[in-house]
Amino acid sequence: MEHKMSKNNFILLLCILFAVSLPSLTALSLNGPKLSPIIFEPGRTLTNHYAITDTNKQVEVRVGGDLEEYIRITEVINNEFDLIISFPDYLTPGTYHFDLTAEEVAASESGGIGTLLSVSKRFIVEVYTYDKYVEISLSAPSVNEGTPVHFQFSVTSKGYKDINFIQGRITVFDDHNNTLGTVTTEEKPLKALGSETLTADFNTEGLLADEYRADGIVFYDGQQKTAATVFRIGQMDLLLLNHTIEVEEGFSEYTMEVLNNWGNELRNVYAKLFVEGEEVLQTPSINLEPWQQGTVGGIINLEKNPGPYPALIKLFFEGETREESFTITVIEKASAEELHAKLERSNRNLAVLASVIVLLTSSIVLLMVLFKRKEKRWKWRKNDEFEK
Amino acid sequence: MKPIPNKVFVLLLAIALVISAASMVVNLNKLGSLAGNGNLFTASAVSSSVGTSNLSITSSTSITNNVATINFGAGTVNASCPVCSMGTERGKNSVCCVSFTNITTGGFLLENTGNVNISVGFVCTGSCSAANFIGAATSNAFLLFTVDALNNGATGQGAQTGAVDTVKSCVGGTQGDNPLAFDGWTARTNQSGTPGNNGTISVASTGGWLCGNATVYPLQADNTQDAGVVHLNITIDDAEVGTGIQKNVTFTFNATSSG
Repeated sequence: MEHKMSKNNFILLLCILFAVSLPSLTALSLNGPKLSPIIFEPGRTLTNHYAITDTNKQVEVRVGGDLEEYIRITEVINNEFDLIISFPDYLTPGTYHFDLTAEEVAASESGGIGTLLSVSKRFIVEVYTYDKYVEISLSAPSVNEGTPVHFQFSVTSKGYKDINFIQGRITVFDDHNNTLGTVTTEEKPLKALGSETLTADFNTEGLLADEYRADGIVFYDGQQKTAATVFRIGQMDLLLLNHTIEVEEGFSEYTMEVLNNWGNELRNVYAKLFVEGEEVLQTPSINLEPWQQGTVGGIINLEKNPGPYPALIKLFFEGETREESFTITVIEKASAEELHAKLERSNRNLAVLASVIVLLTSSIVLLMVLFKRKEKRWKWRKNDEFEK
Repeated sequence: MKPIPNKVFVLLLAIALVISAASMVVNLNKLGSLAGNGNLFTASAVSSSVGTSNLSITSSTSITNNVATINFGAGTVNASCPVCSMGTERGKNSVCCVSFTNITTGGFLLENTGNVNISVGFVCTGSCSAANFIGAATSNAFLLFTVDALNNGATGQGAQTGAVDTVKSCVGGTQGDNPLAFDGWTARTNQSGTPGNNGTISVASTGGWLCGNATVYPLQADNTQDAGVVHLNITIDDAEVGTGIQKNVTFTFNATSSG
């Protein structure tokens, strides 16, 4: 019987272990006919049906973005609902976006790291006009010193009429708002609802590494539209933005924040830390994208008395180096030791408390055993007396 | 040579007509017997009706998280170590991280289980920072709570709803003039294709993007390249003392597609 019980327990334990080790799986789907891109028609009403599937959690449905006032969703019944778009009689020409999102709602908060899922459908609404109308954007890449900047306008017609000519003009400013120059793009015609790009190169000879602003205008058949962008002119350089200046004696984490200050990738970026002329750290190397910030670091072991020490950081990148001297301060590891001491004290207290509880329990058990024995002896004596 | 009289031609024509008529009768009879009808001449009634077929293709935006919970449990930093580092990709430092659970199931395994391309992002609720999740420590203590993402073709974590990926996922899309805006999963705090610090970002309530963004959807529905793994990394300084209260963090992973 006892053997059977233990076998059952073993199977139960196995089941529990299996259940715990099973990876949990959750899913969420939002299904409905594709609608985007939607072409605006004055006064038109569109209805699209959706179903939420694959989840057993409560799901909240919402709409967000542009044109919210013209969009509504019906009550969600059996995880199904309608999206209703009621267009007004007029909208300013252009491109609008809105999102339909279904999101799981947490049943209750439980400790640890949990997850929920949400799915969104993003709709584009195109509003065209019978007039001549364009939307524009201006882009410029960041470049290295002495390299021309290639400006590019993207021009999209949102009108049903052809445009005879489009042309762009870009003016570049420094950070003090001084005009540095102007360039003009080529001329082109633009078909109704079509797209074109206009380009122009700006010579950066003599300009220092810095951030610059460009204001652009696109002229089209007597009308105009404006756009702006910023770009950087850089040189192969790695900037040390921030670094640890205070460390605990013994083992410590040491980090340095660096910035790739030019328009190309920097490979094999790493740093060395010297304290009193002695190398105490060489970090693993990283690659940095153009203008990207990164962190290099590692663990150092400074067996020095608390106090200030002369230190030097050497940055290495693409065969170049850069140095920065500073003073590093070593502080006592008092706080950590105190905390460990506290922990040890509390452990000792726990041990004493446990010993007292064990002692008390043992005493009670002993007393009960003694009492039972006495009771038995008393009964035997009584029986003996009765037999006599 | 005597010319052939017309009578012979008429006779031959008549014979040909009879043979033709006879063969027609035989053929019709054969067809009738094929149809199980023994009658020599029958007329088959032909019925027809007009059928209407509706075909509506539903766009399914769907995401599956094949590993929905991760629990590092409770533990301490070994007194001989400055920090305890553990994560879902490389497990824990077994010397420095005492009693914590060594995560072997890997990170959150997210999979496009719909039929349209999607992008994937996340937001965080609860104790969404190193200081909040791990606990406030001494001023110079080193705490980290970060997220990074990898395509499952490289990770091969397995347990996908569809087949395990064999090709790098989350590749492609256009952003501006760049035809390859996204080249694999990478954690970012912004909309651009530029990754965070080496593809790792700190956990924050604002979350971030892991594959694609609000307008570019590079994660395909193709079973060979439809999944990615989101890893969590935690570093705890030895100066850190727990509060005794288990902290709660919820990551909400979002799949976005064109509507």
